[in-house]
Amino acid sequence: MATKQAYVQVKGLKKHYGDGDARLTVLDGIDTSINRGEICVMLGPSGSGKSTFLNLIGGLEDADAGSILVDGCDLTVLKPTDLGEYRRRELGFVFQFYNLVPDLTIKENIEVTAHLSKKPLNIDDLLRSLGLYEHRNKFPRQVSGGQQQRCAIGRALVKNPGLLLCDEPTGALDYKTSKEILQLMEDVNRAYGCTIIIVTHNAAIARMANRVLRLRDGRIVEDELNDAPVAAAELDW
Amino acid sequence: MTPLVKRLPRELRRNIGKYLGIFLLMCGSIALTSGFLLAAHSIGCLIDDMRDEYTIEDGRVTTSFEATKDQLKAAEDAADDVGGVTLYKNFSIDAIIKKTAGDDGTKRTLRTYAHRTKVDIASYCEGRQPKTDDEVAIDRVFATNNDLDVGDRVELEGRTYTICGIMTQPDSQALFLNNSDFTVNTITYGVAEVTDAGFAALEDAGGAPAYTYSFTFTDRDLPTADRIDAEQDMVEALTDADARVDDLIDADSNQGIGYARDDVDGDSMMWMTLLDIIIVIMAFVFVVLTDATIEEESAIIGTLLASGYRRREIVLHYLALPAIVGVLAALLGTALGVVFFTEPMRGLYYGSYSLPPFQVYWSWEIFVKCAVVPAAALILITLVGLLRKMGKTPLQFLRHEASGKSGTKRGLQLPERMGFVSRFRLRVFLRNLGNFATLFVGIAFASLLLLFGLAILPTMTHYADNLETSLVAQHQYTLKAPLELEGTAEEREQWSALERLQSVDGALLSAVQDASDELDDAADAATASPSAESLSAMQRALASVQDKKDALYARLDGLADALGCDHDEAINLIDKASKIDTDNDDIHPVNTTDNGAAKIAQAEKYAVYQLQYDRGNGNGEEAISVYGISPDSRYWKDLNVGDGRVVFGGGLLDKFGWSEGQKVTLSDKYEGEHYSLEYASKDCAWGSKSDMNIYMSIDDFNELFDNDAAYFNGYVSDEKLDLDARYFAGDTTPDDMRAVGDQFIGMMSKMIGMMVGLAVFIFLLFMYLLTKAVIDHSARSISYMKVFGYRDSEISHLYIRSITLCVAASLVLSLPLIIGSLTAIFRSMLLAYSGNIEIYVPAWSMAVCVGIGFATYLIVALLHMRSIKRVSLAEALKVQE
Repeated sequence: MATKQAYVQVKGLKKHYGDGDARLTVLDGIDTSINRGEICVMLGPSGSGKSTFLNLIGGLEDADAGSILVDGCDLTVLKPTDLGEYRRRELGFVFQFYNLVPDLTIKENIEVTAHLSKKPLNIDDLLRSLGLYEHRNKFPRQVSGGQQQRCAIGRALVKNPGLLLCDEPTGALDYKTSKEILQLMEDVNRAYGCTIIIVTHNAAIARMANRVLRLRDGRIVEDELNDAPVAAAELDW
Repeated sequence: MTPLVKRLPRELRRNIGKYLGIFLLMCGSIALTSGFLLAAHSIGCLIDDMRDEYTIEDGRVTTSFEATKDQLKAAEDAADDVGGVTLYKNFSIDAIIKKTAGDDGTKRTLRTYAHRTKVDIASYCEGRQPKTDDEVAIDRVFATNNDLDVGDRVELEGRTYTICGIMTQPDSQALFLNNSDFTVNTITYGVAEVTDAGFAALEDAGGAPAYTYSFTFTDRDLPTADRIDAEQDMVEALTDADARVDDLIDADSNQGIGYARDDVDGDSMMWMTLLDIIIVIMAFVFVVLTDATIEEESAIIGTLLASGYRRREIVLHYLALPAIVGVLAALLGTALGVVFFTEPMRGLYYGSYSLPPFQVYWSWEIFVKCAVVPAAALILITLVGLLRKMGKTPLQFLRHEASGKSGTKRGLQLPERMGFVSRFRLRVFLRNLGNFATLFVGIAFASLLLLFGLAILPTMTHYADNLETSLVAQHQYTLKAPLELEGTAEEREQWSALERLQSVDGALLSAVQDASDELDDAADAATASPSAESLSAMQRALASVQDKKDALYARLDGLADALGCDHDEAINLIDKASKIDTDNDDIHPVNTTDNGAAKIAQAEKYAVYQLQYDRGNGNGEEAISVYGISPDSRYWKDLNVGDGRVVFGGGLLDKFGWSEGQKVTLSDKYEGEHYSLEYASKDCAWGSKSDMNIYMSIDDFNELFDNDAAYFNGYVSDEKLDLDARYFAGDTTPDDMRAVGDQFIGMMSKMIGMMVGLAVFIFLLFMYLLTKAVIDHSARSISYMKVFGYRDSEISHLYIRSITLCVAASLVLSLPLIIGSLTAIFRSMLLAYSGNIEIYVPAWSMAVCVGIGFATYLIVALLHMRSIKRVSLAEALKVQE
């Protein structure tokens, strides 16, 4: 259930790579806020700075300027070890490629991050809600790409994070599986109330979001609230 | 404990070959090393205990002739300052031993002592000490090597003795015929003891005794420097008392006492060095393999870090298996070594050294060295490697930037005129540059170990050959004092007479001399009687003369009895001997046997004296023989000496690296003198790299050592000479040197066998792991090429050939590096040993090393290419992410 409380607040966020002639500004003064429990979809062409924005919120990169407050904590002043603790405590990551540990079973892959949480979700329940319970003892190579991505989502969710960051979560999946994954995200958002930020090329996904951010050349060109998000099952592209 | 721990058994199962190989290698190396070290430590403790248990001497002094009581007292008095010393008569006879039945004719020498009860007491392994004059107890190693046992009968100097016991003498733990010998001789030389009567009988049978006096200081813990000073005082006192001192050997310099311990300690160092090398190699392998794993799992690591895993947790995860394997291998290896290898390792030494029955002395230090240090070193090195690798950000891992490549090599512009294939191969090479560098280092490590094993035996054989050819003549005789071969028949008779007279107790001769003097005095008194009134006085004087004459005759009879002749012959001997002007130092004794003009003409005099050179850095002293030779010597060919020119043996220059113009300071341990000799130029080098002598003209030699101008103490001769036993010190022949070399090789061959086995195993494993890592690195690209439609042969052309070329180049190009390293290792390893062993790497051993390396690579490449071919293309693409 989405609330109207600002959970992520970004002000004047800047990021560049390289120096001199090779200097490339990736983010050029981003200001936005995302409320707790919202599903936020970020759209934009390649090189617009979507992934960099996600990495900065995830504490994977340092900002050059500006501030990022997550649940009141300014990430830009944290040391690398504190950022690690922040990720451990607050975040779940889902990537385009699933990055599962090949010699751990589906269940064990989820256990890997459950271990990081003091109050992890019940793994079997999660496996059932992910539709992976029957496959829990299989290794990643023994299941489909969609099932692997479900597992990756389960891995991110099991520690019951406040913020779920998804970088092109359906980028490697077919239409049907992509929709299943989006439905799953919708379900976990409802069930666990976590804030979800999804970076995607797929504009259709924006319809299921509470908030849509469009980036171009490192700037937000559109930041709109969607009062009537569409159910993931109804999405079409 | 993280759930990641569940990966460990699967990872172990998946790479069982790799981990098992490393485990076995480490476990085996540690087992051998710990077994050896414990055996060595126990032997060391045993030797330490022997000092008090068997009253090992503190030193020994040998005189040319039996010392008188006064001379011995003078020596004892000289040590009063350090609390006193006790001298023990410890005469020996180097007796030729033959089996009474089935003797093969080989010349074997048994240094036979009279049974000792106060110093250097024998430890009996079997049988008992001799009780009758026809019983002998012989050394254990000599007995074993010559198939002799209690109850067997042997001939010593032609006299038959029965072996009543097998024993070890604590001053002959290592069997050195001469203390200056390079190595022990356990086959044709041994020690024995007989009863006092048995010893006298041996002497009667023609055995020439060595007049050795062993001594122990009252203060057994005297500092070495004080002890050496006291010993020099003793020698000085003996010399002042007219004794002729041939040799002084402090216990620390006595190879019979110290060599076994030094050898064990030296070998322990070698084993430890070997273990250290193996551990470093293992750690290197772990670092390489872990690096590869981290690169392979880069995205997973990135994801885990992004999910909140701490770097420490990831590092511990990747450290776990190497640590478990290392710790288990170290513990099990040490346990196996202690239980199963101590005994065989003991055998390596008990086959060569005469030591009392073995017992194990436990050492926690060995446990730490073999179990704790290797495991800790392995963990530490792997940890450092992991920390270095894990220093990247989560994003870098996610982007596969964990390898740390800057990308400049990959992005290097290559000229198009090179052609596609060449450019592609070059790209493969550049992309794998880091791996190839690792491969090169790894191959160099493995080859070093293999070549060490392969070259050690040729090196020893080469050294033995050098020893044999280093002798300039068929016989190199050393003398206790100058002895002239040339002389008239009359002179020989005179010296023969003197020798015979000196062979009996000196007191008898002195008594005759005194009686003769008294008779002369009485005769003078009688002749001087002035008048008839003194008739009675004259009668008394004549009576006195008669008394003195009777006394003289009685003494002469006594002397004649001792000589085994009548008193006329005794008088005749005295008469002949008295013609020798013994006060004239310029006159040398003449050999009593005439060797014939031809033999005498070809024999050449030389002089030799041993000085010490401080090797520095606590590596002890090198004994260097300084030779004085004829400037136009027919034996030392092309050796240009004279006019103060000093020539240095090639071995000295090679071992110590003396440069032109360098002055070398040598010391005389007996006299305390120091001598500075200059290595003037490259022309002043002579002989092989085993030659550890310094040469100069005999005139320069005598001037340097302040000798009489005509002094010499040896002959070189291609003909066998018959020399008087009392002046004869030794005869070294090429056969002797060959025997020494063979003995040395024989002693080391078991250990060399073990090392070669170990080296080959390590080499194979190492080559397998490294080449597999390199091929693995290219596996994905190879699969891609297949997707593009390349045939296997074309892929091989593009990829495998580049790798093959690099392996071959590494094998060949690392050889000079390895040989340089081997030379340095050998030099540092043998610095503390006498002599100079030059590393000798024959071409065949290099070829074998390269051959084994390349064959291993080919097998690994073949096996691996088969497994790559089996991977489906879909799977190859799927594993991209």
